[in-house]
Amino acid sequence: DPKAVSLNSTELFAHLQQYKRITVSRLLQLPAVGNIHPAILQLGLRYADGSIRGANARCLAMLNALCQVIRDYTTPEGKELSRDLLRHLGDHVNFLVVCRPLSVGMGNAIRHLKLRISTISPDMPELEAKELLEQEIGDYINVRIDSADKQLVNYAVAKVEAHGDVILTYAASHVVQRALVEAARAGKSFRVVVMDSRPELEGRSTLARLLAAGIPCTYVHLNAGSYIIREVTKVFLGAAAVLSNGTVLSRAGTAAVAMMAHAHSKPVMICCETHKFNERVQLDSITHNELGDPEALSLVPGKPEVTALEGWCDHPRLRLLNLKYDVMPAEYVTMVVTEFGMVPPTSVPVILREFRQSEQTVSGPF
Amino acid sequence: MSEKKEIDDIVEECCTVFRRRQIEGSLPCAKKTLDVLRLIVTNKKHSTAAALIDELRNVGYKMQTARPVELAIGNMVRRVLHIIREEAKQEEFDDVKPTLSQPSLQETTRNQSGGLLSQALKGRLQMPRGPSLSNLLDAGIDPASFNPSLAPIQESPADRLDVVTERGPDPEVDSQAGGLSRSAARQNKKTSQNWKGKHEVIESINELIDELDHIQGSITTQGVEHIHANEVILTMGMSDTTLLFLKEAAKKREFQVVVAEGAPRFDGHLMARRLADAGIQTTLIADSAVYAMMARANKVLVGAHAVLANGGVVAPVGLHMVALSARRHSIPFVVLVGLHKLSPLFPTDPDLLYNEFKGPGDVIDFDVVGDAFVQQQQLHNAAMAATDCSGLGAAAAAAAAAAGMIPASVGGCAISGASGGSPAGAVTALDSVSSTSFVLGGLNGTSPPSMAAAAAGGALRGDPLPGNVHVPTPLFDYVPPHLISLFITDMGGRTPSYVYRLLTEYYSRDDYFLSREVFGKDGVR
Repeated sequence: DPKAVSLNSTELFAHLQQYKRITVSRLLQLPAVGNIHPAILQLGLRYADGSIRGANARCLAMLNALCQVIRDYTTPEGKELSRDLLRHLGDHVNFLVVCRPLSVGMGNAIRHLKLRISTISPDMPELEAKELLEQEIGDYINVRIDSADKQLVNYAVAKVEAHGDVILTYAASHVVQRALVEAARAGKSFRVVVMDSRPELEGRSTLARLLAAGIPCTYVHLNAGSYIIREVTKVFLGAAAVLSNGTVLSRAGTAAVAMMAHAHSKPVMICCETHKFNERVQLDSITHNELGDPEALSLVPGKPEVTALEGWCDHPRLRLLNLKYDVMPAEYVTMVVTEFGMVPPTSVPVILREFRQSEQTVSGPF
Repeated sequence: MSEKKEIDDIVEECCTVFRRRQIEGSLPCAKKTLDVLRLIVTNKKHSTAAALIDELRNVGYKMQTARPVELAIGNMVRRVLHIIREEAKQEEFDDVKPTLSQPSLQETTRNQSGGLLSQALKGRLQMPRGPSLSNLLDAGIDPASFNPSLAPIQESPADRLDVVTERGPDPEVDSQAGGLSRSAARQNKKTSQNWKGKHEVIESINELIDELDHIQGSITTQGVEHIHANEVILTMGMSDTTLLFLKEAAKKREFQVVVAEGAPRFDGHLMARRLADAGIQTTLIADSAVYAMMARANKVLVGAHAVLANGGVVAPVGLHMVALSARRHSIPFVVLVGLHKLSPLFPTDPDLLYNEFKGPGDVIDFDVVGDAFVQQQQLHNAAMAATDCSGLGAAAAAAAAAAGMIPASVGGCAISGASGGSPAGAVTALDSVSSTSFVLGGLNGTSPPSMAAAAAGGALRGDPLPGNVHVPTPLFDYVPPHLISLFITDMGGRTPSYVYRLLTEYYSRDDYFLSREVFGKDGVR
């Protein structure tokens, strides 16, 4: 058939890592898998099946695992620690990438660690060097993630009115959940609208956590946004990353929520620690994204009567596309709440520049 | 009498069918409505147009309220009423000015250079038109020459004629004194017979039913003009019209379609399967990916449930978000509708109820709702225990008791308005207590009691109960006209700004509100 169409929306994503179902057997068939530390093997599997998800959680888990890797590392005969350890870590990171592409926060952490390793002088004893690196990782976690979270939550809580707020949130963001629970603990009375979407349905975990804290909640699907936005007073969203042109990379559907809020003049606050800021710029959701399991779309849990997509793999004209992230433009964002306070999205490159300078003068965290 | 009962039964049965949603979709509902109306017109006797209008209006109102969200029912009723009014006006015109018809034709041919409007303004053209701006401003036309309102109830002319009025086949129709005596004479002649215009009306109704059958065909043939090669079309959910439109276009064009799931119905799955089976390259995405994929779409093609008088559209839920995304990326948002979906109501009209809700089970597991309910009880009991054990005075105990009387709303069915309103009565005595509950929160260091106390304080202040979860699942969205680029109708492409003009073609102003209460007794709003 000369007119056979090769057009395929999924081919727009041919430049991205294609989704492959990860199983233990497939992982064990990878070359040089014998050199991979068991902690990293475990971690990779946890990433692949989704038991660890969310930017902060993945970053923390990875740093902890890398700590173990460094602890168990011994420099081979005739090699330099700084070079060999870099290679060693690189192998492990590549393995993790096979299981699931890295998030921006993870990439930043790895880059920071690699920078630190490369500055270790060759005459430092191995034990001391390893201790230094573990200290470094601990500091990074403490300063850039844990304390940052606490500070961020304080700023976010300050933005919740004492009485009568209706706060909209989407999917699951660890930081936003913490902020809302803290605000309830501080005695503020508000209610939350949790918006959720398929196929991940992460909003349910947010709902569970907020209900356990005694916050009255409304749970809607993303499509009901137009209906629910009228009663909302402000929007709190999490982010996977904030990029240098002010665009926010977040779970698929967040851009639509921010757009709806913007169209109805509701303030949109993005809660994002600075370790997830990135030098990169991105204009649309297609140049960088992550592809998830298409099979997750074909069945609807809880609705067994929806069977129209059975056997879609064999159909020559039917494709399923599961996008994990999307990108919202800076104009939808009112404020980015960071551990340094609230900044407009255009200030992200400024903050990055400060970090870069401090890294050059004092090689370590500010 | 017996025939009346049968007709009533048929109408009742039709209302039941609508109420139980045994007929789904605008086209089947419209056809059913027309069948019932045709039955009434054919089998019952009405001596005047006004009587017929009155009866059909009542029946139509009953049917529309059986399923308020299905606006096509009301639309068909209004179409038939319009047909009857037009027929009556034409009759009236023919009777009152039989001689003028000739000269006006000659006049028209002589004054071809002037359009109809200018001729009407000059007063030369006598046409049986309803009131419009030109008519009202023009002094030349005799106001008695047309009947602006064939009102259902006209008490005064009947009183003048000393005829016993009843809401039935006998009331008079004219509001103007000019044609009154003549028409009165005519009416008196046929009180026992059927209105002679019925025959025409039945013909028109048959034509209308035929038209309904051809609507989808007319829309789908326009498919080829609007789609070019290698185009990416985005759509959401399932729409028969859109499916046929795309299948028709696929016969001559190569393009691909991206279909969004369309929760909570998930009929996007069916749409994707049907499109793929028709040989069109289809990709299914989740609703959350619509904004991302909009950057690569060329146009958005969707169906609608109803078109409102301002050009806005009642569409399946989620389409407002899609329309906003399309506007953001400057993608044309095209709506495929048949004109049987055109409703003369505005989105703010009290008669219009454009949303419907599904149960929360489509969106969330009942476990979550059940757990939330249990938890709410626990928190409430903890609050009780906390206030009791701190040994506060009678006021606090009374307040706690009052809080206990706040009805615990069942999780999924709770309406936030109701839960907000219920503690209202308890609020009055409780402001003094709220400060003590903060003290309470300070005394108890551990978090669950302090949270419960804070929560109780919240409840006492008139807030929704803590731990309550409310799950609204609307089925429809309102898409405002400024987001719609084009309507593709069975009459061709139309912009939203043109919709108001179509209303006068199909409906009479007097019928916009079918309910008697809104309209009023004398037929004037």
